[in-house]
Amino acid sequence: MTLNDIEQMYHEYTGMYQTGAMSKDEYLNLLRGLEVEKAVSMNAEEMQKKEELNQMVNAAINIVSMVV
Amino acid sequence: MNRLKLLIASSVFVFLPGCALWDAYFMANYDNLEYGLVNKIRTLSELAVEDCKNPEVSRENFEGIYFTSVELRNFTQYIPNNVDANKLANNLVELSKQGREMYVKSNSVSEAFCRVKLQQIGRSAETAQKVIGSKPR
Repeated sequence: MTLNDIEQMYHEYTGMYQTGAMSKDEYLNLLRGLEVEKAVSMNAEEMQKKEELNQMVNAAINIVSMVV
Repeated sequence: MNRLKLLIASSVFVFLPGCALWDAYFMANYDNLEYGLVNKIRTLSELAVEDCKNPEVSRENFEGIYFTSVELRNFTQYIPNNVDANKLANNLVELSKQGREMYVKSNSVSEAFCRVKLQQIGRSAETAQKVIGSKPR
């Protein structure tokens, strides 16, 4: 989730709150949810980097195995 | 032993810090049940949007999503070298708990809240599903 996505959702939620589609408690709950979503993106990115690294290491081992 | 030498050789080859290499090389493999649970959270969230007009049904839906999230968190917790999947599971527990809490506190939860909270859970579950599905085989 990019900062642009978060900004867009913030405006979307604020619009809903201002038009009375949801209560203040619900609005605050959704904003806290945005923070968690940001954490999900960061954690997923970290895991993806490890997966890519895992592939690189295994590829390197296979190459060295063929040579040695 | 040969494999260890090769690992060291490859680490020199790719110029990576030892810890990052260790974490990546020994990360937990793909697990069918883990993938199934995160897929279930995503699917439940997608389908539950249709029930948002009915708070009683929605309350049950959020209970179900929360239960499955806790199940995923507990499942991932003690698998060795699985800390990243466990972090994601914890995030899903937090999101579903937020949704559930609103139904515990109030009898008149809005349709808009229901829809948006389910979207938050569904998007996050999909993000988690992508990386959990890409774990090494």
